[in-house]
Amino acid sequence: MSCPDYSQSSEDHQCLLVIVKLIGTHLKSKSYHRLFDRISRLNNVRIADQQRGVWLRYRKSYPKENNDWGDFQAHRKVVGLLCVGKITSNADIENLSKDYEQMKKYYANTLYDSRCLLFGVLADDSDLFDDGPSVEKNGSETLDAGNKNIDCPEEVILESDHASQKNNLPNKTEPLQQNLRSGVIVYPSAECCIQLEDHLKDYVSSLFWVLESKRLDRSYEKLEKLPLLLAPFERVDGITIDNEGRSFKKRCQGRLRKHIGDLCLLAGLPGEAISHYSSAADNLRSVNDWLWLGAALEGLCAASAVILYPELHKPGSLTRNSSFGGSGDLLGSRQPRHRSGFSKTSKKAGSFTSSSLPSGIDRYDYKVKNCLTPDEIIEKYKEVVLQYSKFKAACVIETEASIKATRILILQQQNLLASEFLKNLLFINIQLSDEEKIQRYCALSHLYSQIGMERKAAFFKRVAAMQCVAPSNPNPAWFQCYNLLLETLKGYKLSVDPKEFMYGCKSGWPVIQIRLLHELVVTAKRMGNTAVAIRHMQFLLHNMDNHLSDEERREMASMLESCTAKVEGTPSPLVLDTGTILPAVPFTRLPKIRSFKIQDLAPHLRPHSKARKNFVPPPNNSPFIYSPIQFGSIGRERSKLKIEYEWIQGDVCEVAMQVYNPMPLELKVSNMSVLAEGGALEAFPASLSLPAESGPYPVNLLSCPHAAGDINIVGYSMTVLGVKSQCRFRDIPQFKQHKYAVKVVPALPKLQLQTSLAKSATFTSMADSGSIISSGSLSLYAGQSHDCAVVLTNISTLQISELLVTLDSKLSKQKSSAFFTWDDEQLQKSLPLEPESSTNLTLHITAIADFLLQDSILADVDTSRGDISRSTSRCGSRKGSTASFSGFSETYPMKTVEALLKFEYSGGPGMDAEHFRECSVSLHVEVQSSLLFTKWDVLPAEVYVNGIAAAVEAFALHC
Amino acid sequence: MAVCVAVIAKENYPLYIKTLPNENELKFHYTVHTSLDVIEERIHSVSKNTNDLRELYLGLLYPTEDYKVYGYVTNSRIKFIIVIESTNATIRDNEIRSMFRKLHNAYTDMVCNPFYTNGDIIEST
Repeated sequence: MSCPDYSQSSEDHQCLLVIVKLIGTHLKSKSYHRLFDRISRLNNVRIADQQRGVWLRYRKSYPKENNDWGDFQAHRKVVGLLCVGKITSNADIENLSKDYEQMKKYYANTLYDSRCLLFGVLADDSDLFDDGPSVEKNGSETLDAGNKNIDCPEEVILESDHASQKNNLPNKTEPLQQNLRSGVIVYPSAECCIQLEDHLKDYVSSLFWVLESKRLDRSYEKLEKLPLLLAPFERVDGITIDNEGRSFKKRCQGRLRKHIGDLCLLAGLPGEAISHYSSAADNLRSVNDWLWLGAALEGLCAASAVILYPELHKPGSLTRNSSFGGSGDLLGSRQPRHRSGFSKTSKKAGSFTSSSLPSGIDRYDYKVKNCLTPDEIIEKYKEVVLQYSKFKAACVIETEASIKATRILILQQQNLLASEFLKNLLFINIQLSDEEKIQRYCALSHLYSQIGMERKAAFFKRVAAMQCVAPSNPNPAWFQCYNLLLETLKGYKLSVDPKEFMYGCKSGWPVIQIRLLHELVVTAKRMGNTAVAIRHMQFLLHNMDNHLSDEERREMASMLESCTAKVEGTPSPLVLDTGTILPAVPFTRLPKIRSFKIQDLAPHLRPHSKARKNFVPPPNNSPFIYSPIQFGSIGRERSKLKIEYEWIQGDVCEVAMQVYNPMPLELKVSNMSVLAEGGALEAFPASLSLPAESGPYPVNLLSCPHAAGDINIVGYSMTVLGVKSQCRFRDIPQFKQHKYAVKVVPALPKLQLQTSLAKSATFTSMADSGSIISSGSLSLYAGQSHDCAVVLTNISTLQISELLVTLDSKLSKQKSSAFFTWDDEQLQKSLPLEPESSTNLTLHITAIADFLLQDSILADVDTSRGDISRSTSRCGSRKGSTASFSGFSETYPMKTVEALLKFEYSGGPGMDAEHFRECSVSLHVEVQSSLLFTKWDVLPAEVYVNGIAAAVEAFALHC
Repeated sequence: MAVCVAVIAKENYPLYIKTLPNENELKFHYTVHTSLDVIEERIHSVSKNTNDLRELYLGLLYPTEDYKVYGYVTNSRIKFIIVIESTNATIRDNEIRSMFRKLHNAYTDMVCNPFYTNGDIIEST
């Protein structure tokens, strides 16, 4: 026995070992596995007329040297053999029967009974098996003499059942009949064999009766000399003990007694087994037969465990039934059997007494004499391990005993003690191949995780993984190594999902985590799966960066870049062959985003809604003028998500961000664009290069919506270090808002305005100045008028079908309409304005001004009223010198008239949605005084004729 | 002489770890990390049985081939771990206890520093 079976547990002591063998080549291995699962479900069979049941353990293969240990512990003996095979023709039956015979011979020493299950014979051939003669000799060929009388009646019943069913079919296959050997059962197909379970039950009861006969066989008592049962290595070593004497006899007795104990346990009589075991142990102890003493004690423990924890089997068998028909579960026998019973029972194991048995389960008289208490079982197991450890050849038995003890301790929830046993297990020195070592470490890891020691479990998993790729290994199994490493993540509090792994939250052991991630990267690379390696590198760089030194971060980044040069990092989750999903790792912190703001359109491009313009706010029906309590705050929260302003289809829209680079290296960010959902948004990617550890840098991301409706901006995407990542706001903790909803209104045309006037140097002081796209300034003398042309050009691809011109100025309405006039009719005639075409609007500006000077201005200039001579002389001096004129004009300041010529226009689909745009020209007209009356008087009528010239006392003529 | 000393936070992440032979640091990281399993199990089993008055010194946690690992848990669940070479037979249990006591005092002094926030990595000067 070279390799321990890590799935062993103490209840296996009461199981009959049955091998299910595949014979022939026709049966596919998948259907063989399915069949095996189906057969394995039948692990407990109740024997008719006996208050006992038989437990079964099925294996797909069993080495012969393990079988040799059958004398030492009866449950290691192969007692049953089931051969399964598929037949396509009658010739196959013969061949397979031969194979079957061979298999029988292979295990002939220990076999109690065997069957051969063949599938795939046509219906009319299916009566092949039920020929009378074969019934009589079937099954019992390999039996010991003396068992036939018990065994045969069962068999006859079994077969005659079939005979009665099938006999009505015509017997066509006469020649084949002779070739048929015993115990061959033929089914139409692997799917259609309802009787399989019944046949198996019959088969198991035949096994039971053989066993029972052996158990009750007291023939050895009559023998003069008792046979000495031997463990395989004792046979080889040669027996040094003398074959005579009392102690030898006692030894033989003890060993035989122990063997009978084994048989009792197998036959479902643990109580009887206990008494046999304990007397055997007494015998063996007195003659210092340590190995067999260990075996007797182990048997005692196993029998006690079976009595104490009878429900161990029950939940397991229940789940097996419930998964009836599930063929996906192809667990090979090599993998440790995971009994759901462990997890279920361990929860309540604190109160583990036999009285906690559910009602309905037949109780053996559980207060069996000599039955060990839970604590005693552990004590005894300790001794068992101690006894076994005295023999180097029994190291496998010792290992298995430790595992069985651990399993019982898991049940008892004595985790620390269990870990002691596991630790001891490590020190057992077995020569193992690499493959077996991996298996051993995995088994250890599994057991450790069962006792809640996840760290230790992870440690051994990792050791197993390292073993897969040990330098001494000529063909390292990178794939296996990688999968084992993945399983360790949990133990090290790591996860492949960046969302589960809280950044900055201190959990786990960073040094080890980083190491593990490095190992994953290397393994994935050696596996040849660069995409997976990139994914792990991303995780390492992004989530562990606060534990990495600058040097390491730089190194990782360059490594990542060199990898992504070959394979581009994708933003989608990767699915491994094993079904594990590696979620994407978006670089939300490389670079770091400080702010993200959706920008409104420029004022002159903003859409206005006609509906809103005419909207009258509903009268407040609350009795309060002001209340600090905000009703319906939930509704407001939602509306917060919505940006108040709107974007227009087909217009370039902008998002402003601020980014930081926390890395000690220059980050080249390329293809940075907005990530939107729910609408067509064409993004214009931006590229930027951020120097090491610096910021903030403003970034504007441009995009153009292609359809009207709501667009949810959920994040941004970019390529950093060759990895494409999609950063969503919900993954970035500093963003409270997970999305920004922007409304996009249908496309609207765009209008460009140009005036024939000079651009004004000063900005308008008018309110509502945002929509100004052009300006014009003009200087006019009071009373002068001027025609100016405003060129309206449609610079979009949509026609403008609606145009409304209004004027806004600080002047009174009457005055302003006199000041600025235009021909609206002419303009409306030019509509619709086709794309790329333009039209002219002639604006007639008349400088209207008062020719009267206000007193306050004049006060310091002219104090003497009616002094004509002074006035004329001043007039004359003005004529003489222009310098004095300038001074004069300062005294009579010009008036400035500001006005906004607003164009509200609409067209295309936007107009149908009642949207329009607004743009305006600001006009700046300086009105300079032309003629001012500073003084005037009403003259008497008689001097009127001459007086006109005199009455106009002062004037300023600037033309 | 101890070969490795570690201070571990309540949430089981390392606050401080110092090893003597520097080239083998990772190995000690693994040793100390896995020993946490045993410590947790010990604390758990004790707190279930008795309500208070737990002994801070846990004693030998587990021996490996080369090292012995000793543990000590303060009432605030700060764990101290000392690793000693197995070959070193001169150190007795009492000495280990006094080592832990000194370590505990040093930790208390350090926590008294007003500039230290709980849970930060400890840096030795």
